[in-house]
Formats: sequence, C-alpha cells, structure tokens
Amino acid sequence: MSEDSVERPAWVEPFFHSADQQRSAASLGMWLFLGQEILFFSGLFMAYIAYRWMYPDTWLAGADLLNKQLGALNTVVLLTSSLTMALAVRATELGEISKVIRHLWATIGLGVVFLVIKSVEYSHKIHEGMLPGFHFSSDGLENNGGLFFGIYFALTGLHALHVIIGLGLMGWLIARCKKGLVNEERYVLAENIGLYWHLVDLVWIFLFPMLYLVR
Amino acid sequence: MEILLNILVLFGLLSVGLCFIVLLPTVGQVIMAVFATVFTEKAVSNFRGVESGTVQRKASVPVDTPKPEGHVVTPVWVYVVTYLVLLVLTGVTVGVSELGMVQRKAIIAAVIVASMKAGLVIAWFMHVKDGPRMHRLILVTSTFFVLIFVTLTMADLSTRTWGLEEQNLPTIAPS
Amino acid sequence: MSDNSHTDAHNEPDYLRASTGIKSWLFSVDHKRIGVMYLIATTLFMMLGGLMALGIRLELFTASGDLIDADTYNRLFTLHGSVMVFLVIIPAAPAVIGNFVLPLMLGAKDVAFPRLNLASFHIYMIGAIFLIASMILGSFDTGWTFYTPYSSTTNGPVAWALTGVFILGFSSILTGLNFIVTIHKMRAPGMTWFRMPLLLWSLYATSAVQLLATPVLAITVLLLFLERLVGIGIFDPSLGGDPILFQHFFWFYSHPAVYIMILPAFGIISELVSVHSQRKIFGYKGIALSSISIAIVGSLVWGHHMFTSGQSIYANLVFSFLTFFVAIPTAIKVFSWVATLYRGNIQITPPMMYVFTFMALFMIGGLTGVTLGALSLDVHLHDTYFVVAHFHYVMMGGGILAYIAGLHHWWPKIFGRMYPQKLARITSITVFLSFNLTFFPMFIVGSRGMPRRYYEYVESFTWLNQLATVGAFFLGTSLFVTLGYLIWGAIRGPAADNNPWGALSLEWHTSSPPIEHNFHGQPTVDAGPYDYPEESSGTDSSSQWVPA
Repeated sequence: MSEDSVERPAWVEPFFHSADQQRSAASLGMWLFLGQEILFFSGLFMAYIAYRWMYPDTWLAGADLLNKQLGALNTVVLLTSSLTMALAVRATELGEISKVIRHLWATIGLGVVFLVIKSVEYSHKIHEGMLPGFHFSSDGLENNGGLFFGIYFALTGLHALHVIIGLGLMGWLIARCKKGLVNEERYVLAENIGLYWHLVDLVWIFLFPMLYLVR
Repeated sequence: MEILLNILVLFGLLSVGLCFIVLLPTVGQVIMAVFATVFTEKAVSNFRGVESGTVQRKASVPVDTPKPEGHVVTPVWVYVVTYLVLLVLTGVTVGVSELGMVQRKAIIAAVIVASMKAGLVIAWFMHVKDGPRMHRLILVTSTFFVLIFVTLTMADLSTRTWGLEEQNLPTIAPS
Repeated sequence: MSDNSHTDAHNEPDYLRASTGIKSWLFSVDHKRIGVMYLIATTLFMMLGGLMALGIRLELFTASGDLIDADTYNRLFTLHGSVMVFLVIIPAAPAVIGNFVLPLMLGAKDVAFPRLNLASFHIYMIGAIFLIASMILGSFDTGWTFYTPYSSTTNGPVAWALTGVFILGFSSILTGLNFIVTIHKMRAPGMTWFRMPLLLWSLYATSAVQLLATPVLAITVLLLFLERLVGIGIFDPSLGGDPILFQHFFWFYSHPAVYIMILPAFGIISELVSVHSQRKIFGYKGIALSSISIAIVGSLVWGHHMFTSGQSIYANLVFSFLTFFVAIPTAIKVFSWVATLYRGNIQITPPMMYVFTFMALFMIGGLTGVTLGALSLDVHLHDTYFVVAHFHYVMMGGGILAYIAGLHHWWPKIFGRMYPQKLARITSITVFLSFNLTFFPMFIVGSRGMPRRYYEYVESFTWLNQLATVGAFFLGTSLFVTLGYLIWGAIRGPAADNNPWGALSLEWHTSSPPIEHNFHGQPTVDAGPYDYPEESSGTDSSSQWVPA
C-alpha cells in the first residue's frame, strides 16, 4: 500500500504501479511483437534464398522483368513516410497534438501512394501473365519463372498487407488523438505504431534490392 | 572444390550480412557521427530553425519529478539527416546495381547497403540507440534465429548433391 | 465457504464468486478465470483426442483392418495428432497453469495485458473451431505434419485445418508475449530474477520459443494455403519447388514446439519436487539457465526429423551431432531433481506420485530420444512404432502427466477444495502401470520394424498390440477416474487450507481460492522460493512473503 505515494494518473490500469511501468510494459510488448514479425518474414526470405541458390539464372532474368524505377520510387515514398512517422512520434512526446495529426495524415497519404504504385506494378505484371505458380504464362522466363513470381507476389503482397494494417492503425491513432487520449504522458501508443511502421519500412529496405536490383 | 568455395562464400556472406544487422545500431551511430561532423550540428539546425542539442520532453514538467527512464526527445534535424542519408543510400544501391555486377558481388553490395539503411532506421527512427538494452537484445535474438534458420537449411540444400554426381542419382537440386 | 479463509480479514469474495453469469466468465479479463476457461477447453479437447486414440488402438487390436477402413484410420490418427498437439499439449501447461499461477507467483495483480490475454483465449477457441470443422467437413488425413506434396494435392478439407493452425499460432504467440512482458515488468518489489520460482523461468523460456518459432509456422501454413489456393509453387516439385524445404519450414517450428510442450512440464516438476520433499531445490541456477539453453539448443536440431527424407547426408551429420547437446541441459535438470530428493522429507502426496511417474517415464522417453538422434539407428527406426512410443513417453508421460501433477498441486488453490487424496494416489499408480502397458510394447514392435500410420500389421505383432490396446483402455479409464474425482473435488470436496503443501512461494500466501486482485496489498519479497529448513539445523522455513 505504501507504493501509492507517487500520484498515479487515472489512465494507468489498476494492476500497474505507475505510469512508467505501464509505458515500459507496452513498449516491451511491441518490441517482442516486432521480434516475431522478423521471424514471420524470415520464412519468405528463406524461400527466396533457397530458390535463388537453386535457380540462379531464373533470378537473374526475373529481376530484369521487374520495374526498377517504380521500385526505387516506392522506396523513396516509404522512407519519406518513415520520416513523417518519426516526426509524428516526436510531436506526441512534446504534446503537440495538432502537429501529430498533420504528420499522421502525411504518413497515411504516403502509404496510400505506396499502395497505388504497387497496384500499378501488380496490374502490369498480371497483364503480362506473370502470375505465381501454375498460372504463370509469360514467355519472359523459361525456367521456373512461376516460382520467382510466386515469391515476388508472396513477399510484396504480405508487405502490402502490413502497410494496409499500418494505415488502419494510424487512422485509429488519429481518432484517439482527436478524443484527447494521446498526450505527452500517453505517447506509447503513437510510439508503438511508429515502431510498427518502421518495421514495415525495414522489410522493404531488404526486399527492394533483393527482388528488384540484385542480379 | 568450386562448390566448396561457393558454399563457404555463401555462408560467410550470410553470416557477415546478419552480423551486420546485429551490429546495426552501432553502424547507424557511426554513420550519424560522420555526418554530424561533416554538416555540423549547427548548420543543420540553422537550416531547420530548431535550437540545437536535445530538448527535454516538456518544459512544464516540474524539475523535481523523477524520471526513471529519462525520455529524451530527439531534435528534428537528426531525423531529417537520417532521412537524407537513407535517400543517398537508396541512390547508392540503385547505382551499384547498374554497375553490372552479378550474383555474388551484387549480393554482397546489396546486403551491405541494405544493412546500413536498416541500421539507420533502427538506431535513429526506432530509438534503439538510446533505448533500453532489452530492445537491442530482442532484435539480436530474432536475427540470430533467422541466422540459424537460414544457415542450417542452406546447409542441407547446398550439400544435397554432394557425392551423388558420380553415382548419377536423380536429384532436384542443381549441380 | 467462509471457513477456509482464516487469514481473510477483508471478507472480499474470491475470484470464483466475484461476479456471476456466463458473460462474466467468457469476457473476464481476470487471468485466473481465463486459466480456468482454458482448463475446461483443453480438458474437453483432451477427451476428444483420447477417444480418437482409443479408436486407433481398437482397430489395431487385430492384425487385419476389420473395424474401420483405411481412410477413417488415417483421419483418426491425423486428428488425434492435431488435436493433441495444437489444442491440448501446447496450450495446456502454459495457458492453464501458467495463466493461473504466473501473476500469483510474481506477486502481481494480473498479467501485463489482461485484455490481450482474453483475446488469445478467444482466438484459441476460434482456431479450435476451424480445426474441428476439418473433421466434420470431410477427410483431413495428412497427418498433423501436413507434409507436401500430399497435403497440397489431396482433396480433403486441409485448408480448414491450416486456417485453424494459423489462428492457433496467433493465440500461442500472444500468450508468450504477454508472459514475457509480465515477467519483465510485473515482478513484486524484491522479486529478483534469481528469486523467481523455477516454473517462471521455464515459462519464460517457453514463451521465448513461442515468440520465435511460431511465426515460422504461420508463414509455412500460409504458404501451404497459397499453394492449395493459387498454386504458388514454393513446395510443388512440378513447378520447381522443393517439398523438403517444407519440412525444414515445418520442423523449424515443430521441433521447438516440442520444447514448448515439455519446458513448462520441467518447471512444474522443479516446483513440485522441492515443495513435496520440503527441501531446497538443488542447483537453482543450473535448472533456471538450463531452461534457457534448452530453448536455444532445441532450435538447432530440427533436421533430425528429416534423416530419411532426402536431406543432405552432410546436414544429417550436423543435425545428429547437435541433437546430442540437448541431452546436457536436460540431464542437468534431472540430476538436480534427484539431488533435491536425496535426504529430503519426501511427502507421498498425489502430486509427488505424479512427479515420480514423470521422472520414470520421461527418462525412458528422453533416453530413447537420444537413441533416435543417432543417425545410423534412426535410419532403421524412422517411422516405426519405436518413434511413436518415444514421443508418447515424452509428450504424454512427460508433458501431460507433469501437467496433471501440476493440476493436483494447484487444484486446492484454483478451487479452494481438496480432491480425495487416497483415490488420487491409487489412480496415479494405475496411470503409471497402464501407461507402460500401452506404450512399452510399441518399443518392441517398432524396433522389429512395425511402421506407424498403417491400419494393418503383420500377424506376429498381434499379441504385443493387444497388450497395448488393453493398456490404452486401462489408461483411458484411469484418466477418466482422475477427471471425475478432480471435478468432484472442485465442487464437493472438503475445503482446502490456504497452504496445504507447506509451500513458500507467493501464490500460497493468499486465500484459496484467491481474491479477484490476488493479494491484499502489495506483496514484497526478500528470500528465494525454496528456503526450506536445512536438515538438522532446526530453523524454520522462511516464506517468500514479507508481512507488510
């Protein structure tokens, strides 16, 4: 009972001693989640490495079929969104909520741009018959091209799914900002969503050279 | 012996790449330190119109309030410089791929540049640099498990045909 | 019911009576209620899986396939495996005993994320529905391992089972995440890492494995799902894919999953050995750190499931070599337990009876595991009943029986009432005998070459298989009696003391059953959990609890 000498804000859950304990628990939880996300994506990177080892020629030719310009543009878009996200988190820590909302909208906008560019790429690939697996009908790749595009679609698709989830999370964060549930004391949610967004960025940082550039 | 060499190089590469990721926060720190000396902190902050140095989270917080995990707000210029370096490195990785390197060399170049970029994001955007050590430990552990996964699986794939060539046994792996 | 809480000055209702109605249970964020809900769910699924096992044994009573046809047999062993692995053993010890005991042992009011905890229970139930649906919808007969290319080409409702496993994986990940954060952040003042009860160390290691390995299962299952849905080709040899890569993916999760199943069991046994022999645990740090090293070494050895699958023989050598290292931390634990018992004041209580059962059965299971890890022997024994016997000795004789031991130990804490002790002792003996009667003959028929997963066998194996079938029915009956008296104890049993076993860790220093917020006031700790009096020193045992 003597622990309660430090005053505790109303938003601290009853089973935590202090705001700090709650914040650090939430932060640790997010980091553990990111840890498992890394392992989740590692499966697809593993498949990429294995088949690159088996079919080096297919991979050489496959990288040439992808649109390097759009990929690089998307990298820039995603990096910029990471910057705006980092600035949004910074503004949360300072308690400047209107700035937070502005930065979050910028991030959402960039995320949408990313998805639009991605879908342009996808529709192009689908149009040319570069579908995964046994749907593959393009004559660009003769040897197991379906496998390359299987991994391409699985990796980028899973990444895009994470982008979409991230956009949803940011929308939720904006709603909470407007309700006044985010402030300089309660910044962990913003920080966690920021961490998630940076992880999405990290995956793309490895994914882009591996799929588009390396020959 | 060619195949043995290939495997050694592959494993060396994988471990170097993954060790790189493990050391990313430090790499990020070094890169930032270099940039901070090239474009002095002051020049950058003049450009942004933000006072230099770290800003305490909130001025109105009473000074005597104990902050067990002192939460320091990073100034804007750090983020902007990180971002600019990331853009430069993106340019580098695209540029390098235009040099016409294939396979091994291209992979090495790509992994190195990508790891540097990842290092910057992890160290500065994700605050691993000055965050609790546990965050670093989680990253290292996950990366270590990815390393195990890739290395031991590749240990199988890359040696599956060994000793089978002479006997002309059917195999799905390339020779 | 008020007579059992002699230290309870506050007269607060316990967690079972704090609120009523089915909703107050299904949507409760109280870790104790969630633990009890998991208990009910896993018990039901265990009965389902057990009935399937009895069906399998009944078919194997005779050498010819006369009772059920081959298809039904395949479905039976597939569902027996999937239900027992994904719905019973993986969640049983961490989610039932872990959920109930972990915050109490730490001196916390709840886990770090109670709503997430509830969510992982709901996710578990949804996943279970999908997995069970695959049984009703048709013939899901790939075995619990989903090996490609059969699983990607067969017409059965594999997609349902895959969805179920994917969802169950999330439940497992979230539970693990919750436990790690709780152990890091919610320890009572004075509860340092090396003052934590050993169960918490093993739960920590378990949670780490859940977090690191389960995502790979998720991606494996997702890829297999895509394989069936759109023919993505990653595991399809006709498109250049490698089916053996699937086995790497699958066992990278599923071998560490074996440690998800057995590590909590180790924790329970470490706890019980000390409490029921009233002696300080031998080698606390050794046991604690060996849990962590089992988690790490256990992640390096998955290839020993693939010795005969077409894996590179060089990789076989490496995996076989690494496999032996798992024996070291495991042996550290076993020797420490035995050393704890030595000159201890051993109480022949029902939990202790199960501890002895565990030790005997786990030793057989563990040592045959080393046998199977030897490359040359495994080529002979692979996919025979020897393997079936081995993993049943480990998973059931180790995992499930340690879980049952834990239930007997914490039952008075969970429900505040005691089960009939004499009956429990007798049943533990019949469980031990019938378990051996069921599974020991399998070692013999397996080493003589009887393959697993067939519904017929050679005439000469008949009498051993009949022994096993008889044993299985005895085992089923014994476990059914156990369930019966435990339920009777929970409802009608005599009121239990707050600390019936004289244990020192924190959970025994609140009322039985605990109040909704676990403790009156904040517990503080200044001693280890096993400071029982040394022999002949005449000192009193000093509990972890420091009175406020």
